Amino acid sequence: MLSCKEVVEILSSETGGIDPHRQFSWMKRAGLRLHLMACRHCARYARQLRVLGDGARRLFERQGLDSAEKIERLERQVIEKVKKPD
Amino acid sequence: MSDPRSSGSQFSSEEFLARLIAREHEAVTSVVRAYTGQLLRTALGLGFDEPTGHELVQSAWVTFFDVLHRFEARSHVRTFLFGILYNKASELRRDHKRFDSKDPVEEVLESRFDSSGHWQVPPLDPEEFLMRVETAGVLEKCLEGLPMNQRMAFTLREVQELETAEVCQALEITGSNLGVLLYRARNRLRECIERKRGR
Repeated sequence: MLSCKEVVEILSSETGGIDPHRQFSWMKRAGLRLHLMACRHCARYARQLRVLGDGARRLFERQGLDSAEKIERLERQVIEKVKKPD
Repeated sequence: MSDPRSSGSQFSSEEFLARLIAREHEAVTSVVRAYTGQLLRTALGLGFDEPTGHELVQSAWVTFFDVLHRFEARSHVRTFLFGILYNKASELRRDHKRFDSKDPVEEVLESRFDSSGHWQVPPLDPEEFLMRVETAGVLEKCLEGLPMNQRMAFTLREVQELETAEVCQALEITGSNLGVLLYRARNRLRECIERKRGR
């Protein structure tokens, strides 16, 4: 049986990749799902992590918004800077 | 324009690398156009202002071409590039990249659970939490408080430009280290946001 503390650790250390050390058995994954269905505090915690992720993505998108022209200019500057001397 | 999400393995071929090392114009142009946008977005995501972000990206490219002859094509060019950006960003912030065995957030988290691992101080209401995340400046301020390695891990993971394996290579850490960095980053951010007063 997973404790809330363990659930928090599992949820917040999620890397999204395949790491052999963190491969969870289907049983543990099922246990996680059951816990989240039964425990409203942990369900809130999971929701907070999603809100955090979404908020961060939106922030990064806003930061990158009017960048297209600036990126092109930066690219030209870089190409100029690193090119072979004539 | 190549798909920014592509692994760019064509750039890692020996033939292409030779052209890059020789600074052949077409090769240089294609690789610079492929990755400058991502690099800049990452620099901005790390909290640098635009002029500094531009400088960082330029500096990263200059170094990239300078040390390219030392690059062993075992990883992708992009990974190498992000690793350089990360080093420069850390230097600029005078932030060590050392993986600490402990982090202050661990103690904070401990205090939220009782001895049997149940919530003692439950998480904040998600609607209230959402309001704070959407309040201008709150997330930026909380991100500022993260050490560079946590911030880089979080930024790369959330922006999802790089695959997990790439993030690990760029940061020179293992997958399990990455999990710990994300654990620390996400919980520090959560705690910071929960402590902010609402509008």
